Amino acid sequence: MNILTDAALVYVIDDDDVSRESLLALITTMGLEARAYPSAVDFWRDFEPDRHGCVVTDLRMPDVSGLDLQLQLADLETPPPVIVVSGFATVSDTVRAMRTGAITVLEKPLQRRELRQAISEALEFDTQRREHAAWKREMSGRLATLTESERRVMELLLAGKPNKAVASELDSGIRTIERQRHNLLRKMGVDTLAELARVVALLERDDETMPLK
Amino acid sequence: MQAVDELASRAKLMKSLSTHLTGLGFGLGPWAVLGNWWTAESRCPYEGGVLAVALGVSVVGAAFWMARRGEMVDGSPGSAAERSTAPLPSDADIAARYRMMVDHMSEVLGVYDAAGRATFFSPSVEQVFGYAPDELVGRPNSELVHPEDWPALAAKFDALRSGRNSVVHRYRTIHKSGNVRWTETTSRGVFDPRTGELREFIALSRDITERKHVEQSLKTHSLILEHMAEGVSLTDDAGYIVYTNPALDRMFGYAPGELVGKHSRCLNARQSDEDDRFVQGVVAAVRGAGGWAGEFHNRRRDGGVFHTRARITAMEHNGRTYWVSLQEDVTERKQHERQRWQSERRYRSLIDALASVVWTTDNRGHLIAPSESWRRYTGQSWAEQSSLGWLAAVHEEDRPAFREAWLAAVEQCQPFHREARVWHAASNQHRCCVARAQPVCDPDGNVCEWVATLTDVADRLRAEDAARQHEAQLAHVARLSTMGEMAAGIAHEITQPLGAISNFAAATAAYVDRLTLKESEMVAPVRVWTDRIGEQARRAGEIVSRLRNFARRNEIRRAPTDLNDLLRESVEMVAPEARRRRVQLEVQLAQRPAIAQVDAVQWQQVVVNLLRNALDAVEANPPSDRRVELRTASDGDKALIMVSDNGPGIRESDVPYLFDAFFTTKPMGLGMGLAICRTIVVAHGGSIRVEANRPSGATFRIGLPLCREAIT
Repeated sequence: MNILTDAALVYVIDDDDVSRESLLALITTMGLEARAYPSAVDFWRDFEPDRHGCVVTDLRMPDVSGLDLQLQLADLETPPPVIVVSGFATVSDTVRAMRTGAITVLEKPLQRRELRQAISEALEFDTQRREHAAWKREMSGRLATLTESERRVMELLLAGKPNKAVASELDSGIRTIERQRHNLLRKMGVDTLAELARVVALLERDDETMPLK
Repeated sequence: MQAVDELASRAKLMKSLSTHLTGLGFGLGPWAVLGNWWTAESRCPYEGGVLAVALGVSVVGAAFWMARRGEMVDGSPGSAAERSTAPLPSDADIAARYRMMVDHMSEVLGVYDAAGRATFFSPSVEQVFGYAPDELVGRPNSELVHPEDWPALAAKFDALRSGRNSVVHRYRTIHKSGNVRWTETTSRGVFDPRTGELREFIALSRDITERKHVEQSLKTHSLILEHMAEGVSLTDDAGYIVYTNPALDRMFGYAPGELVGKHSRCLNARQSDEDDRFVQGVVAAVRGAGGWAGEFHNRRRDGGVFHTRARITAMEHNGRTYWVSLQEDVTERKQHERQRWQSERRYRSLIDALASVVWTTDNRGHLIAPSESWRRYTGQSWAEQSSLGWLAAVHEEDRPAFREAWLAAVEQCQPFHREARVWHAASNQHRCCVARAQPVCDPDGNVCEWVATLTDVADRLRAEDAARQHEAQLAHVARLSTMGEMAAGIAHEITQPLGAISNFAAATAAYVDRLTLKESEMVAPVRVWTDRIGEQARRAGEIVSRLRNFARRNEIRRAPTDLNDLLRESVEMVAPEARRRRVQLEVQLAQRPAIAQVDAVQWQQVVVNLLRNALDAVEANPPSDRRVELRTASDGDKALIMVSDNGPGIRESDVPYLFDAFFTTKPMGLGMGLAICRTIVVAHGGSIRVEANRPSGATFRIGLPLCREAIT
């Protein structure tokens, strides 16, 4: 069950030295590369946004707390998933952490199994998020290659209008429309109009919210 | 002799009256009054009245006799008429008649020649001067006279020689026995009609020693009357004034003698009806009992009213009744009395106002006068409280010791102070009281009485009890909170190392698992032990977690509470400490009640904690500049409670940890107070934060949701 890829990197942020060291040891034994920082500031100095990975942070820390760090990360285009660990988490802390997009909140002392599960989830989420981002980038690129007339044809077709209606609306020949339809399906890398509709819907939805899967 | 007798009898009368008056408390004055009055009333000064008549008769008689003997021709028309109308008696008859007169007259008739040697004395000389006439004849008249008085007498004789008709002289003579007697002598010179030379003196003398005494005594009494401070007046039975002394004139503002002849009514200030009844009362008393004593409301000449204490007695004289009145101005004394009365009244009111029970005892501790306040409190009648009876109101369990202590205090003259249960009649039960007593000493320092007070302290004790209970409750909650917060704090602190232990154990186990089969066999026990370490760490973690949950278990008994009341109570608990530490504690509460669903005791703890922290914070300031302020305000649906101080403030680097358990800047601090505050505030859905004040100090600001109903 090698869901954890070798390229994954786990960032550990904890102001307590012994806790930080033990977390580092634990995560290392999971066969993952991990780096530990005593504060968010130190983390930001070393952070590699393009690299596959996740963040494990303590909740209570001076200066920048775990929640603060979450909010800072959320501003990124592709924020890494965050696991919050705490020795003293109240219900309200937990709720806020989750609402800010944490994968989970774990209480100290940790169970190795729980942590492994959480990290596994986080990395899978990160993988998906990255794959999705890559697909989205590709699709956006494909969309950009469409000509102005192909775009208008696509919009009308996706609105559910038959070729004939599209041709008459655009004051064009039906043949021309059929050719343009063929071209845009090819350019977008899809076989059917239904498939195109799904891609466009996903792209539009991503503009508003983060994909959950 | 008749005149002297009369004088003596008058003096006797006066003496008896004086005695009568003295018995009534008048002293010498009235006697003197009588003397003067008699003098005035009789209009017959003894110097010239009856006595002079008697004297005149004698002198005239003697002149006749002398004229006969000296064959002188009396040229007086009276005598000529007498002789012409009546049958002329013979010379022998006349001589015998005058001889008899001379022999029997009480006055002494003496005849001296021009040189002053006695040629004749009437027989009465023996009675008056102790000498027989023969013993004196031929001797100079100076011999009988007191040497001190002789020069004046001799001068008078010289006056006679130089032609003066007659002289009257009063002087002292030496009685044969050696006693000094006062004598009055009327002397006349007899001149030779042809040569005009003095032939002889005729002297008529009488003993005035007794009269002189009376006179002296009257003078003294008159002087007393003139100078006495009391006013004396004498009225007849119709009420007309016949005499007033200067003091009375002054008292009423009249000129001396001005009142004589006026009706005594003019001195009375009472209204006419009242006056009538009053006068009738006085008249009845004087007639019935012979005297009256009481108070007069007088009117001065200028209309001013004043008071006198007066005594009136009736006196019979010559068949008429006279009223003697002696008056003393008591206006000033009445004023003093009034002041004393006011002062006493004020004192009594004060005692009543003190709501204490007050009583006085004699120097043996016995109640000697009824105490109204003691009766009111205990319900004991006067008969029950008198002597040591008042002790019966003390609870029987307390009584023996109380009684012993009381008697010991009285014996040793030590101030008394004791608590005891005393029967309270109104509530039908014994109540806790404090009795205090203080000895009152006379000017010599001897204890003459004890003034004691009883204060009901039952209510105060109850209030103190309630306050103590409240305090204890708060202290209990504070202990629990402290314990809870400490447990939570400890749990938090221990969780970190426990987590680390658990992590390391798990890491070790995972590491061992990745060894080769041969290697893992070698460290098989290590694999088991690391599991054990991990298990035990987790178990310890669970215990800590349970402890934390137990400590954080919120036993909040919430009820709608007016925060203003709650804050006021909290301030009361801190105020004594603030006073002691000379901190100016200002409280500004919002006018409107702020109702919130809170556990009052927990919130008091929050406020008291913050106020005490503030008191600690300003300790570094000089006493004149220690200010702590508690304010409330409303902010929409929240109440704001602010506690500020002007102390040194909080270091910025401390702020993030300020509310953490075990975090403290005080040398002896536990670091629990603010942690508890936050726990309580957060549990009630509120918030707490700290702000810096300018120029110095800190403000803790609490926001607390208000009850919805209360907001509208």
